[in-house]
Amino acid sequence: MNSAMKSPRLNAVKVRLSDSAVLAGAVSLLYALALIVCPRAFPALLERIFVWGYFFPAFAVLLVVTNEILLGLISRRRGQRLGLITPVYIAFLTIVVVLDFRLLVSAADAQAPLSHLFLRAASRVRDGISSEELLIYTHLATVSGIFLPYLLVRVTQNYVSDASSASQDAKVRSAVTGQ
Amino acid sequence: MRVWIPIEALWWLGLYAAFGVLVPWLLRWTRKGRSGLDTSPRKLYRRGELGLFGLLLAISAVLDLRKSGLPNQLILTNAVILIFCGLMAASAWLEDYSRASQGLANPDHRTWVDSGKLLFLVLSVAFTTEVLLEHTAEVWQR
Repeated sequence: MNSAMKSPRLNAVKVRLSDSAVLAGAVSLLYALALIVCPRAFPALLERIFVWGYFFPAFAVLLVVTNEILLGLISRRRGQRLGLITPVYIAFLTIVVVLDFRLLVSAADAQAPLSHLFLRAASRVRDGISSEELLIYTHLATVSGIFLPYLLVRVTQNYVSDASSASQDAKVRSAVTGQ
Repeated sequence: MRVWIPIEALWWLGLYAAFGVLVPWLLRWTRKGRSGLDTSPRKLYRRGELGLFGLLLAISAVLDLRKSGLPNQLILTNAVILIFCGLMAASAWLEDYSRASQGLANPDHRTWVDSGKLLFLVLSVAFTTEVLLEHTAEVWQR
């Protein structure tokens, strides 16, 4: 057999969308449960952390740790090798998602007093983002921070797998025609 | 500690779960005696139909979002994420359908598991969205 046919194929952990879907769904349900059980204390707690300024760093660390644990569990369950690229890629994507939400929340926070000042649009006078809006943004960031990185990893894996199969086929074809 | 019960969100969840999943299964179950069909939900929804139902759930939650009176930016972000989750759920059905239309085999087990898990995601996110909308409406009424 030719050396081109023996070259090693990519053997990273194969991620399926349904793996992260269960975790994201469970966390979303827990979020709803926290609001049902503590309808006043839970939004107040989030608002307090947001005002202190530790909200997004703490949130990013929590999501990165959660996603890495999930990836470890997936690779262990499937008995696949966990390299360095996938965990780093997932951590990077999680941080990017959290940064996107930070921008959205900052924009909403800045928009509230401006709209009141210039457009006189707000019937409820606010100094910044309301605790209800923060509650909804946090829920969306939690779900996206778990689901979107895995979705992008899956898309990347499909792309890399297709590309490596195509190059493998091309090598085999050229080896056959060479003989 | 006062527990708050989101009646409208629970009503929404019950209505969709009943008409989307339970009623079709019950209809099939009632015909079990006559035709000897396998009435397990796994057999009934083996082609990823649960994923398609997930997309419908996401659309209904987006329609509720539009009526909420929240800032446009927030409605848009929430709607995009809901529809995205719904589309991913529907992709389980779509993948099975396209493979079947090309005459390729697709393991039933995988489609059923994937569509079920993705439906769980959509159901959870949509339910939490409904709870948040009800909470916001109550706070704004005060």
